Amino acid sequence: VTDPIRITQPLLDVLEMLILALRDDVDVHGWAIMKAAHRSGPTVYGVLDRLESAGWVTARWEDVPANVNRPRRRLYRLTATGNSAASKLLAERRPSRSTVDSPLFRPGLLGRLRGMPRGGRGATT
Amino acid sequence: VNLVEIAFTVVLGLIVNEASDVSPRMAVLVVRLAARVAYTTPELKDTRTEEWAAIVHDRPGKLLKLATSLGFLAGALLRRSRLGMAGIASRRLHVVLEWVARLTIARGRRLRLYELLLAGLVALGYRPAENWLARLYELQQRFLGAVAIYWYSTSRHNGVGWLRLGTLLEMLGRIDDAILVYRQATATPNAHLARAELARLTNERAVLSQRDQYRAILTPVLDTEQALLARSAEMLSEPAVARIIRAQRREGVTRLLLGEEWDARLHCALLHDLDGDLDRALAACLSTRQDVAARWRAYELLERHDLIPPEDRPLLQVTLVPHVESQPIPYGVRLIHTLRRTTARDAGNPSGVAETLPIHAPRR
Repeated sequence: VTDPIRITQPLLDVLEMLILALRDDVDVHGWAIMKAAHRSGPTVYGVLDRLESAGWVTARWEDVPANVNRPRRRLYRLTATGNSAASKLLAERRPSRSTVDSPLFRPGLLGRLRGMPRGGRGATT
Repeated sequence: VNLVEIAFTVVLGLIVNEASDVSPRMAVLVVRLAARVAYTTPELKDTRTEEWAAIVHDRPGKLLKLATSLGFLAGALLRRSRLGMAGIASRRLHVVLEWVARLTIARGRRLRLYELLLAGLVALGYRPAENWLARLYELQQRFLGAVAIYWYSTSRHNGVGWLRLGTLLEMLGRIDDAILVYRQATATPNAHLARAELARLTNERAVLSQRDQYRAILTPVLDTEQALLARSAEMLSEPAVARIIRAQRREGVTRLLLGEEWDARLHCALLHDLDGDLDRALAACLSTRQDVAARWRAYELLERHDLIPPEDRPLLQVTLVPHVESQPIPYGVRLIHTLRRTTARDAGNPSGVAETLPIHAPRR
């Protein structure tokens, strides 16, 4: 496992979001991350690419019932390594920011995330 | 309100209505295109296509879906422009990047998107244009034009450009100039190969053993790779580019280890030949049948070891000449000339060499 190459504000935003999601034991999809981090799609997916290649996050496809006709979302979750490394990184870079200030705790968003329970790990990735 | 305006309003309304109806479908096509543009591996392309389609699907409104997908496409194009620039780690690109850097980074301001795109376009177009011009001059036997272009290509490069120029001069029959160029090339990092070529042209005593000649053949390849890696390293100031380069290196090493790359097998062939194992060398060459350069190398090995039966040489000429003409790789050209020389010698017509060949044949 290697460190992500570039530490940027979007990376920290995404990590902050993923840490809180991990604490709540929910997996988050790309749109939720974009919404919470207030970052554009290409920016967020650039960060996710780096985190995935560094082994900090894992991804899985959500389970969509066969009778539902829509594309599957891809759900992201910090790995154990990623969690410890991200916590350390955030403690260094954003020591004053409490978790309550996190974008995850903005009204409405947490509930949306809570509606995304874990499960089906090992599904198509 | 006249009739034309009414018709225009109706038609415009229909168009807008139809456009908004098809926009979700267009959005899916756009994200598919965006994923194709942004990523190089098929798995990631498929993954991101479905993932982004899900995001677009979740967006409310028909036009908003299209707008979201266009956002992904814009990001993908930016990403691709960086990837394209990283993929062409040539000296020309470096010159362009230096120019951009002088105008931007050195003056303490950030690189703007249009500058990056402009640099990418210039770098992409430069090399094909140069190659096209060089080939045009070669075909038209315009000595000065060809020399000017190849000379330019050598100006700040390693010795490969010199050797290309020397080969070109040989093809044009300017042996004295080729000798001059090879003498000049001895001051470059590819001195070994230049000395070998010089010895061949001047019919001087061979200054290199066969083993050293093979090493010399490998040297420019390795030098070029080293130079490209060095230039890539200089580009590490741009993190996105750096990541792509690292990924490419990993991929390159993997492919080398797997032996899928024709040049990796070619290197293996040369090393086998260094060890005196001609059978394995030929096997390595011929295992890359899809690549004509590898076949040329195999034929050259056979010729060097005097293993091509005289009766096969005319057939080889017929087979190889069209390839050489379509892809003028230096050792392919040399092999053709060797074959012609030996064919003429076998036919008892040594004077035919001078008529058909403007170059000196390699020493045997």
